[in-house]
Amino acid sequence: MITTKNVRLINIVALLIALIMCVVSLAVGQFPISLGELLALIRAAIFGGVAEVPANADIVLFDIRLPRMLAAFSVGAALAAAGAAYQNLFRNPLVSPDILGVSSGAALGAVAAIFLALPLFLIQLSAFAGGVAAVALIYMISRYIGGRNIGDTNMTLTLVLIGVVVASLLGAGVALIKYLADPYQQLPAITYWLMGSFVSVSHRELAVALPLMAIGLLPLFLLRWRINILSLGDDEARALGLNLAATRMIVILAATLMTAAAVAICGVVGWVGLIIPHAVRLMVGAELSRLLPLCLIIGGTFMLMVDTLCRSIAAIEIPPGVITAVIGAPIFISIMAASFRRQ
Amino acid sequence: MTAPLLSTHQLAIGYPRRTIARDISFNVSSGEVIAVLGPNGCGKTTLFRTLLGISPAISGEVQLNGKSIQHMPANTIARSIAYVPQINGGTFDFSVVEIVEMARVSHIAWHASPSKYDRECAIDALDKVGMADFRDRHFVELSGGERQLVMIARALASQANIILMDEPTASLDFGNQLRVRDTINMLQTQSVSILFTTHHPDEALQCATRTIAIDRHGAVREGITSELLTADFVAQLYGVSITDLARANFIMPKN
Repeated sequence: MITTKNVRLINIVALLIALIMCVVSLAVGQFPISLGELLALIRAAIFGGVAEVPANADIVLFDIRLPRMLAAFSVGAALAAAGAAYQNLFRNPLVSPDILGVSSGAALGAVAAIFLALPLFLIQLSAFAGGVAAVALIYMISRYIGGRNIGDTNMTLTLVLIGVVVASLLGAGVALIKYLADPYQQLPAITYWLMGSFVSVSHRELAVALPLMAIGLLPLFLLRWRINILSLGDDEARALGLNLAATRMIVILAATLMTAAAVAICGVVGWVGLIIPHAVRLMVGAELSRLLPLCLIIGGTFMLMVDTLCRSIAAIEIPPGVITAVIGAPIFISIMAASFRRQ
Repeated sequence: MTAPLLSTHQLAIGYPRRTIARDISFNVSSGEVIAVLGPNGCGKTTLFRTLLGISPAISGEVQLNGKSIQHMPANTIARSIAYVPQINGGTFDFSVVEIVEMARVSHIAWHASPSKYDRECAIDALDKVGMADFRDRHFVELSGGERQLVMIARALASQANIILMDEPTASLDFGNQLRVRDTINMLQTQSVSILFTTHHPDEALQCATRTIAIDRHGAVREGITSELLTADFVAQLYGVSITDLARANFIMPKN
């Protein structure tokens, strides 16, 4: 049974694992930094003075690994939290944060910017704008065709269907640009972006993306209990007195902001937003007040672990999307097997 | 007789291009149990959705405590009218008390979670329907009858004085049907007004003082159950013959 005490224990263990994973991700890599060197560097950074460490260790730690660690953790946390909220909204544990086309829109935005040979910052901006615009378009079409005939309720299904249609249309746009792109310069860059990567993350991107994710998280956190009620279905939620249209819109807006910011800095990374909320729900139940904080911790830790593997298991960097799929698929199957056994 | 809590005036229900039933006028007073009867697809559920303000009225109006519900916020309506939907499985793994607690949403600030008082309301409500021992069980693992009682508890936890029950006894076994009917009778003694839909005229005769009957053409009649539900009327309502009714052991009203 899930008790408050058990939940607290699970949270403490998860936080400890997260902390260990943070240290590991700072230490491990092509340029190994020992635990002693790590502590010396941190002490020197906080209290001043010079740490006795190999040359360039400080640059590796503070300018490369630290921003990358923060990016991986926050992207994983954001995707897992957005996924948890969406799974409630769409009453389906198999929903991921990109169900309303945010990834497809971001992909088209980024790919178009790469095609136009824009600088990195503009590629990221274009990805973010593309993601938000795709969701806005899907929401407005659903509202337009649904709002007239069926009112507040029944809009959820309309959103999903329009989402599938628009995402597929945007996919066609990506395919067209790939076809037209220069096969030696642009096509590898496009393919690389579509598989996702944390390589290029610097302090500058983080300074923009982290606040956006935080702004998205705030309404999800405040509405965490009400979002549970969305999972009862439109009619029941409305009959209980939930302001359905407003709650749904805020959840979509918040999740879109978080997901678009995440996708903009690291490209499309699948699976995290799908399996983490699913797995965490098996640990602490469906209630979002318990689910959301743990999704943030475990989603972040998982992404950090994946990124650390990406840059340390082979001589070349492996795209995180590949690792999340390789780890995600078996986890997902075993979760499903476990939930069938429970029935 | 006290003033009506809920009333409709010349109400027409349905969709923008298709009116399902029209000329619906009735009053619901405190502690009254009313059955809504009619063949499949006659608009019983649509009537409930309209009374709850989910579907807009095609014409006419619904009044709650003397005020039109047309522009009433969802939580204002929910504090007076609770809805017990037809049994469904539930998608996510909430505990029973968490499901019941959700009824408190109309009383809680938008950013808040349920307080100790809200938890007590939920447990009290479960106690009233005899389900207090089930509070920590998983809702999805309950049987149909247990789920139905939990849904009724949720309606009680909202502290609404009118409860709409959509086919509360359909798909329940005999024992659970009796349990739900007993609960309806118990609530009536506590001045809760109940409207319930049913497929069985017998059930209307046993539980409801008054009945609203909607026929397949959307014509509505309303009256004292024992006066309205004559064998002739029931036969006509469902499009069967009097001999069919006798064969089905329909209990004739005594008058």
